[in-house]
Amino acid sequence: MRFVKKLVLLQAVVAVTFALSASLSMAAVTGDCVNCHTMHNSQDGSAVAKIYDGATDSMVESTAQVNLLTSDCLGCHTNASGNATIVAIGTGNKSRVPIVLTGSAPNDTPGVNAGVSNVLAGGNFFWVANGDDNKGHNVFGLRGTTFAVNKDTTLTEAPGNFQVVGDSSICNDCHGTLATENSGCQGCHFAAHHVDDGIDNPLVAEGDGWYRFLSVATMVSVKNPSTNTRNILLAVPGVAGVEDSNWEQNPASHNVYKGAEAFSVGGSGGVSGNSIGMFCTGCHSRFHHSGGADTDGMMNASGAWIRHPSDVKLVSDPGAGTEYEEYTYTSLAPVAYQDISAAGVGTTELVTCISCHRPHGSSFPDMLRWDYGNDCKTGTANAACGCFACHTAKDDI
Amino acid sequence: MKTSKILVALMSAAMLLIAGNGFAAITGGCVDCHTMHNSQDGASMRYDSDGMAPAELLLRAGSCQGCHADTTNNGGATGNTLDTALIPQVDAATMAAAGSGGSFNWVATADTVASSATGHNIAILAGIDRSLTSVPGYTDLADAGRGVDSWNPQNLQVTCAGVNGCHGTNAVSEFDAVKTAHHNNDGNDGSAVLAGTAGDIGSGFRFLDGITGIESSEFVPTVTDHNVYAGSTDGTATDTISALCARCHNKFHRRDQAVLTEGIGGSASPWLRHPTDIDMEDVGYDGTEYADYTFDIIAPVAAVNLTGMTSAASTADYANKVVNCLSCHYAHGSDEPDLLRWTYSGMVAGTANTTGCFNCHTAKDGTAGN
Repeated sequence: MRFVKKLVLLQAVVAVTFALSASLSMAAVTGDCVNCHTMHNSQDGSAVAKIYDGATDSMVESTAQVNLLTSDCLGCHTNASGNATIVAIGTGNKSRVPIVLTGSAPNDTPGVNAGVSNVLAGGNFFWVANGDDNKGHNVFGLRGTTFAVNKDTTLTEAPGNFQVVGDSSICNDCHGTLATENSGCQGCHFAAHHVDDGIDNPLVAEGDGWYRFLSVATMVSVKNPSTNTRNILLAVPGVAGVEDSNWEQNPASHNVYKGAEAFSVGGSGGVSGNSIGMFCTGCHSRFHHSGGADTDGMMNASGAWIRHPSDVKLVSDPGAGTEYEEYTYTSLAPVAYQDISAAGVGTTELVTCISCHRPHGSSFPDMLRWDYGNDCKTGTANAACGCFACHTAKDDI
Repeated sequence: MKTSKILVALMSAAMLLIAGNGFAAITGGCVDCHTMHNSQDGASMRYDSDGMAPAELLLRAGSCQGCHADTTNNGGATGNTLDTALIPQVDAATMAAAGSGGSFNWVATADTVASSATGHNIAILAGIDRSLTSVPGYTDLADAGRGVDSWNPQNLQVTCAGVNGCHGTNAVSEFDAVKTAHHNNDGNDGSAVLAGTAGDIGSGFRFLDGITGIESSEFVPTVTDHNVYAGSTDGTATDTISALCARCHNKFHRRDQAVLTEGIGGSASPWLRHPTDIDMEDVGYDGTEYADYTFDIIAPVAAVNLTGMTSAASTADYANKVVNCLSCHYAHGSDEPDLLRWTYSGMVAGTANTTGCFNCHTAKDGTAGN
């Protein structure tokens, strides 16, 4: 009965979330063209385009950018002068830009629910950009314009990298590191700001360029540069999900992540089940799939967990009374859902990679959402420890 | 949902206040024992030296030994942070530093006939027994789920847990045998009486399936802070510490022997083997030498009713003074032959001595009592 009540409550919460976000939903980018584009990169004889210079933490004039843009990925999505994480630009502030790199530390305190400097759902690159390698993805451009300055000084390849270990080919640009010029932000995102299926629905998938533009399009494009059109690239399965219109700056309204019990070994057919956890396996496969060799995956040959599961049902046996049945949705440790459509939403919760990690970065080691080393002690209740959101009995409550 | 959680939280807080500083299940940083991906800075997080592969249950060791008997690696030598002062170690180098179960140090560090006799030859720690070809006292009635009539330890070594071990269930995998127990220990605060519900390992004394007892929070015992073992007066109870031993060493405990040589010789003197699960008060406590027994961790007795007892229990707190296997032996091992708690060859009748055998046999040392 307790579990049924929980499901009803969860469904109600998610339904309200849908209702709120649907009214604000804009699949494609909005605002004046001039906010993002320049026709000739020449205004009054000067360059319009400015890009982010990670070496000096500032915006510098640039040559013309692709797609007539006034900047590059980091240039648009960096707030070098402060720690506000959503910046409105242009006349009338019509274009709201989510910020992934701030000039000063944003608020990353677990459980804090509001504030203009709150980290967004994906986290923030502030800490890794300032030298903490284990607090973010080492994305090209954060520290400068060379692989040498951007690369992780400890790791030699992406942790859990399975498919291209030791491979120095072009594949490694995306699957082994994000610190090369061929990779960077595009290693994960394939920008499709204007793609819109015209459907007023908060669920974002292929028709809207995939959830947060997470697709394998960039990689397919790099591998086959002359044979793929934009539509063909976007047709390759990417990540689906519900996008919060404020990028979870106030987690009271949040994203809804797509999960799937699809943890096969790699493959190049796109993102299985449109799962955000499956997307991570492109580089961190050993942390996700079911295992090829006995030690390559989440389970060994006998089926015992040897790594923390992801894309796995939080409650595999409803009513059995496990501690996981006490989980209540929290943006501190968000779960994913097999079914994120309007009907039956939230019926199956799955643990996923970003239940614990901020994909861009955080103030905590390993890009975690909380301080695992200091705040998570079994037998000691601590609301700042996300482990206890699922492991509800381990905190002695 | 929220209401129920608040209630649970309030009840837990109330229990904490009542319990004072006591704690039940394992406590401490998750990171101390678990690693999510076994990949920190691209390197393994395991404490032990047995391998780099991820371990079951996301543990930082691939075996019981990794956390409980690998002080070379899980201490400070490799920069790991496992606090061996808080996690019981079963391979202490001296008996003074050993826990209540003793130490595997001597059986593990040598591979001789003599060293084999100093401890249980645990597979992960020690070589095969160099002397025994059958488990002492083993009969087909030994209740450990093996279903075999005999056990040659030179062919099949004992393990920490599992079907051939002492701790946990008789699952094949040692980890499966103790799975969930650490987080569901019913109490090691020195006062909680573990019920020893069969199959519920967390309710078992020291994760011994179906065994009752009170766990001291101090792993190295003192006479004022020690385990309280469960015993019985007739040898029929199955939740006593001696009943556990009898699952393998059946002949040394049973009284209903099918043939005269398979047991301790009935329920009264003359005994064929030293009695266990026998109350000294039942064999003429008042007025006999046993009346002079004083509780000591060198020869601890067990109790029948543990309710109200604590780890500070003294002689007067033992309504029954039950001789049990651990009155003489350390379960893991010791620096003496036969895992004994004292030098048996030094026990000389007629020579004044207040310890060892003479803790109970107080008049045998030539004095009127202790």
